[in-house]
Amino acid sequence: MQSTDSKMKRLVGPTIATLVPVIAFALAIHVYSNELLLTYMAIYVALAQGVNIMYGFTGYLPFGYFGFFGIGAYVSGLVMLDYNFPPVVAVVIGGLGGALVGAILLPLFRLRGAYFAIGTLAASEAIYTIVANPSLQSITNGPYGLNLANYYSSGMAYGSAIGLVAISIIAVSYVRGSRFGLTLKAIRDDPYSASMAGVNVPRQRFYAWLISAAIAGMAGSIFGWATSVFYPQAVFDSSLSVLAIVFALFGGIGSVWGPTIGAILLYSVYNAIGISNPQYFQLIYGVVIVLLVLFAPRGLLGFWNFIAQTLRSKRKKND
Amino acid sequence: MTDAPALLKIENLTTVFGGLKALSEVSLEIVPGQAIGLVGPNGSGKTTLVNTVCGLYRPASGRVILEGIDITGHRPHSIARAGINRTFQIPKPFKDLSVYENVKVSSIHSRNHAPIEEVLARVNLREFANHPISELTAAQQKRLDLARAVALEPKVIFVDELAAGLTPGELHEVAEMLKEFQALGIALIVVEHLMGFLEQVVASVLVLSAGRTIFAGPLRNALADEEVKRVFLGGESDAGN
Ligand SMILES: Nc1ncnc2c1ncn2[C@@H]1O[C@H](COP(=O)(O)OP(=O)(O)OP(=O)(O)O)[C@@H](O)[C@H]1O
Ligand SMILES: [Mg+2]
Repeated sequence: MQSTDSKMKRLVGPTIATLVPVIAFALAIHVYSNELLLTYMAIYVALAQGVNIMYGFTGYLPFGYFGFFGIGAYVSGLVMLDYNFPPVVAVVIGGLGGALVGAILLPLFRLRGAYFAIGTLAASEAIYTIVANPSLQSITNGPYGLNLANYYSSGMAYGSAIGLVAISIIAVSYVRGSRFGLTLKAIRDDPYSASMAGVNVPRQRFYAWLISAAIAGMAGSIFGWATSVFYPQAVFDSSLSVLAIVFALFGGIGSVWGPTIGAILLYSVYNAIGISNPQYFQLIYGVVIVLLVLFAPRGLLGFWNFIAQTLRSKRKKND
Repeated sequence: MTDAPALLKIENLTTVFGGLKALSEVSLEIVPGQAIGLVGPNGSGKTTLVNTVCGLYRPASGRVILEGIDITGHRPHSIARAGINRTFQIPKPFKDLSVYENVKVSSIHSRNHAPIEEVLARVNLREFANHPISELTAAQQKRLDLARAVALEPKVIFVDELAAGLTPGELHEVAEMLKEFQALGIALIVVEHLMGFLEQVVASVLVLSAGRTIFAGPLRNALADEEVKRVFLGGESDAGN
């Protein structure tokens, strides 16, 4: 019964939320020449949006998110090396690899709260240990990582990263505005009530988890491709999860813009000061996670809405 | 007694928590459009019966049969989709969703996509459609639970203490509401402490004490029954005779 007019109107917000960062990234390269850094920044925007789908809409905090990222880097790298797949196709296959591992890790959903966060962390560490194991050297090249130098194309990798930014934001917009998203929010509020509303709770959570894992898998694929030579510990790195979670929380979880803004702002700060003193930065980010979860669960955007609302109600009173 | 085939049959249902038999061999039958009261002192197992039938707890023994199909131990959403629903003694809304969206979640998953406005009107919450949950009173939140249940087009609804804390005027309103659902053919199992309210809605009751059925039959006879009187007036001890 929705008129096409109001349907069009509802597409305006998501379109702007997708196009603005995409255009900004496309233009940024003409202003700032460090393409690899911009590629990483775009990858972090996508990762933060992936965390957004998972944590923002199901309430499950995936500390082991980097596992999907690492699997993506390896699956895509190996299909390039062993089967000579074109990199862009390999990136998509890397995303499928992430989703497949997500499906395998499904039993983790029996865990709640912090146990889930820790469970995913342990599972991802286990995947790392397997991939990096010297006895698998014939398949994964074990501890020596992958060399994709033959496929190196910084421009195409950057373009793909921008494409992934668009995909991740479109995915979040879809989830937010759809019945699927409404169902996820209901589950987050009260899983048993949701099931009595006819919701197959494990299945709906699983879909969110798959989308989120596929985004991380593609992000890892592009990361590996852009980096071109990487060791397993570079793509199975828990600080990837930490950063993505901080970016998403800082910007505002559950919103479309929040994780984009959070990732761009904080990743810039990270590069300005974090690279020289990484150990302090990790510590600071750990503290920031705790503070955000405790005091500003809706992040920058939540804060912004709060101020906007206060101003509006003040103006109303003055009228 | 009617001779229509039973819609819902609960057979010897037993639920155990650790060493506690919270529900012990309880049986019940209900036909479409019928309303049965479920009464008993605090802790007698009323909510446990609702929770067990609705899939939150797995029974130690016994069966739940809906329209001839054994659904014992099925997962909650299958039970809900099969046609059994409930409200909660302590209301459980989706607190981040509006009143309308709360009902929409059920409507999306119902077979015929129940009209949300209409369902809200049935529980007198229509004018609150776009309000956040935080603006509802506890009594209104319970009616929202009822609306969510109704939006899934159920055949049976367990109503867990919908009347607690209401004014006499509101009680009458809620009783009328329940009678309208009955008229639509929905069977109701009404958990309630207030006899005056029950009298308006149900003709027969099941009385529980310490997880056991101590009476099943017309409400009028229950009030005259010696054991029922003892349980309600003489504390909650089991007078094992
Ligand atoms: N999840 C649970 N775990 C352990 N014990 C429980 C659980 N739920 C209920 N019980 C116990 O089972 C017994 C029956 O409780 P129940 O909530 O079914 O009573 P009730 O008849 O609904 O009481 P009220 O009128 O107070 O709502 C009580 O002794 C209660 O403490
Ligand atoms: Mg109870």
